[in-house]
Amino acid sequence: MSYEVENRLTVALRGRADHEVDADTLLRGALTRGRMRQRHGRLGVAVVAAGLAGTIVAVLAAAPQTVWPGGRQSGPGGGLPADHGVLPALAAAPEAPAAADRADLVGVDPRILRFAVVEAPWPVSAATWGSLGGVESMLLYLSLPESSPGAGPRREVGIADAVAGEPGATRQSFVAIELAQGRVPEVAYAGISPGAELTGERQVRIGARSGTAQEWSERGYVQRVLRWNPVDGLEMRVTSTGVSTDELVALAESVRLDQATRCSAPVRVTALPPQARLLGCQSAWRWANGRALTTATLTVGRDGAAVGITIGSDPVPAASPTTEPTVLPSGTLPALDPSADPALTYGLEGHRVDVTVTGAYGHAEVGQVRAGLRRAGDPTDPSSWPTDPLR
Amino acid sequence: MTFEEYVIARGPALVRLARLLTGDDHRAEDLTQDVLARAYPRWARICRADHPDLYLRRMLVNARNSWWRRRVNRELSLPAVDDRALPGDPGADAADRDAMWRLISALPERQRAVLVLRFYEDLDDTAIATILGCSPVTVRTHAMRALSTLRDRVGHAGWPVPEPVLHERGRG
Repeated sequence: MSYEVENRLTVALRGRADHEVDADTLLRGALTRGRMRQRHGRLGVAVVAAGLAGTIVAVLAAAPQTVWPGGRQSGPGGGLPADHGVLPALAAAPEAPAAADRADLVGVDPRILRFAVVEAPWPVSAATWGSLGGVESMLLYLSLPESSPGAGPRREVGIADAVAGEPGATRQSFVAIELAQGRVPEVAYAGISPGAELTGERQVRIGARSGTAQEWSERGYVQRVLRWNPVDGLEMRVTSTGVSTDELVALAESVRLDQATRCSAPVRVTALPPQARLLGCQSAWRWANGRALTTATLTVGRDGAAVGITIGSDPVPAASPTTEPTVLPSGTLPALDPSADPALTYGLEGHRVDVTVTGAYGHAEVGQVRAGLRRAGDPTDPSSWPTDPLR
Repeated sequence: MTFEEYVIARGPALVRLARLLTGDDHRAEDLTQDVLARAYPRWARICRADHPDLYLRRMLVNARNSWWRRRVNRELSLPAVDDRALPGDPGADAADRDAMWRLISALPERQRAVLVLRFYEDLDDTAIATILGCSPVTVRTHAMRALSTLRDRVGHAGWPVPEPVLHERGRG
């Protein structure tokens, strides 16, 4: 009987796991996310070191007609973003000038994002809104049609390394949209790989403006970059791999520069280290398993030091501590890079909070910030989040 | 080996492992991408480690176990007796695999991880202990308990036993 169970166990595991995997999509996603993490790390240190008002502003496109998955609909037409590309919404900031009106305010205040994508041309299954070092950004995870001329090489890697894509299947690709005064710095969410070579460049039209489309190639992968000036004094850049130039242009034309939205988090930071201020704010949304998961991150600090506070909408399981902070075991092998892991992870009134530390701050500052954290608003409803999370 | 080469060569295996740890294909790909993205900035150091495969697997298991990733509502629904295929039926093998998978899914996380690493990844107890951050003795204990649970839930005829029958046994 023992052998019987073990044999059937093995068969069941193989039956459940052994079907094809698109290694190209996996690589594209890992590279994009990995570069984003790398960029955050570099810029975090740079911002801290230089004392710039670096920000990670995360704003969901603010339109009264859009919805925040997880419940509250703020207008007609509220469907699931994964179905038709309508993005969820953070609270609108109607009193705040958008990029089209005040280019000089772009990237200045971490609580306000001054551009938006209300509805993408393709379904969106995840999105991150942010701003760092004066660059406001959106990162979208799109489901595009399977076949698109010029989208770039695609290799299906299955169990036998030769499994064709299914009819009607879609490509999953990250697209980064960035806006900054002057010029968007080279260090970016989907920054061009250091080993890539410029293999193509042409002029394109994005709405009424002209821009430049570039192709960068590395080991058979093509990264496409659009740059243009949507408003005098501002540059916008759209970057992706596995997406054609025409598709990037279509996405670029969906960008709205006449809407501003508010970035916050479902917490109040009531205790700060001396001279610390809000350096950044970020929100991320992803559609998984039939429901929306959100995270919001506030970065507070001063010259040379910062603390990041991340809270998610996914509730902490009931069996876990929900009131008393509990330090969890490190998530990775500490010998390699302990600084990459959260300094502290605990449950705050039913939701997980990660606290990270950068630069000169240490356990004392982490403890101080943690002690002053208060839940404020419903994590699934950005309209309930405080206008200023530091008050 | 570059990061790109590793992902192309070994990434699919990580996704398959994640499928068994999460029980959800979409979540598995998301989890694997996330783990690889964490590894990307420190790839040079990971490559210098003796066993990057073990390291990535450990990251994957830990990510799966984190609060953020943990499923709030666990699914367990054993097949109803009337719905089961009978031995010899064309769909019997598939039904058996499905039923067995449901039993595996119902195991506690650590026990399930041990079974996956031992019976799917074909790792020895020392390697599993390294990945899970525990001792080989603990690995063997988890495996023994998990297999015992599975045997209890598989009837004499070889079919998973419906939940009510198990409850009746417990009362008996």
